[in-house]
Amino acid sequence: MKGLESLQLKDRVGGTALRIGWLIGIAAFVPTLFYILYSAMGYAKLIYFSALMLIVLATFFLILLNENFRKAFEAEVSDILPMAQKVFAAYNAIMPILLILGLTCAVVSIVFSAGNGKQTRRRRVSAAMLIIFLVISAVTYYVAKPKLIGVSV
Amino acid sequence: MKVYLINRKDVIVFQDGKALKVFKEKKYEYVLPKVGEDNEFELNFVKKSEFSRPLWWLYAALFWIIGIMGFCTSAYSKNTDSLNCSMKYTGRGNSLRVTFYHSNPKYASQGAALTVDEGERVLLRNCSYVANPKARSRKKIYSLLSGFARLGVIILIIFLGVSAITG
Repeated sequence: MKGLESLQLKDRVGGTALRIGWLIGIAAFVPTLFYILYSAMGYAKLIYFSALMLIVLATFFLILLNENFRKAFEAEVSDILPMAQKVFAAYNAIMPILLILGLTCAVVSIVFSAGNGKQTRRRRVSAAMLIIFLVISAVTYYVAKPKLIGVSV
Repeated sequence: MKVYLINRKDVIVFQDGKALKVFKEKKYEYVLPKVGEDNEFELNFVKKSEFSRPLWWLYAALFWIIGIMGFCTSAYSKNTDSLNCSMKYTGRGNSLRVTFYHSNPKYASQGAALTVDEGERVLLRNCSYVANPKARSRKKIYSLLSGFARLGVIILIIFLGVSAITG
């Protein structure tokens, strides 16, 4: 049938672009992951020290006589911050490229999925989710970057 | 007029040489063909393996490279048989259900590729899958070469990585 080969090509281009777009989207999400981890570590430390204080109160401060328990209060600053700072610095040049490529892939996927003789709603929804994912990654990166880079250990 | 397509998979529906857009209602796919004066219309159900095109090797190689060793490109259809069935509807209903049967790759051209509900006034032509041994062998070649190429690239990456680390 005339046009079948071009439809198959369009469908394959759209599908491939979407998958590559998601790969790029996941790569762009890495700084956000580190930021979430860094923020979570702050909460984890809070929970940790709260738990220690609850133990102290429950034992009527008697447990403070134990040297090993006292050492538990000397928790080291996590290694996440220097790692996060390195990642953010490394993504300085890469992030705009990833965002542009990711958005291009999403748009190509949407454009090439139209009129290919197949049911395309799932692909369009996935492409829309990819765009949202990239936007979240971009916003988190550019908002968190000055905060994170400026913090010293 | 809605024509529901049950188990459609790779089959594309054409009317007057143009592919019809496929919609989805709950879990059922359907198309909306243009209907003539007497509620008549004709559809073509077409399926053809991508490995039967000319320069199939260039097509496959290109998407293998762009798709990062083929991992990021959609899987090719397992069944390489072809279908080019035409259906002429002369009934009076508002909807029609077409059920597709996809042939086992080992036993092509067995039975009808599609059926309609009993009692529907439909004329079907070329309603069986036609085996495509050329496409089947090309697909096997592609799978084999793709596997070896992936292995080769992974070994090369490990080798380069180790060389870089050890200096």
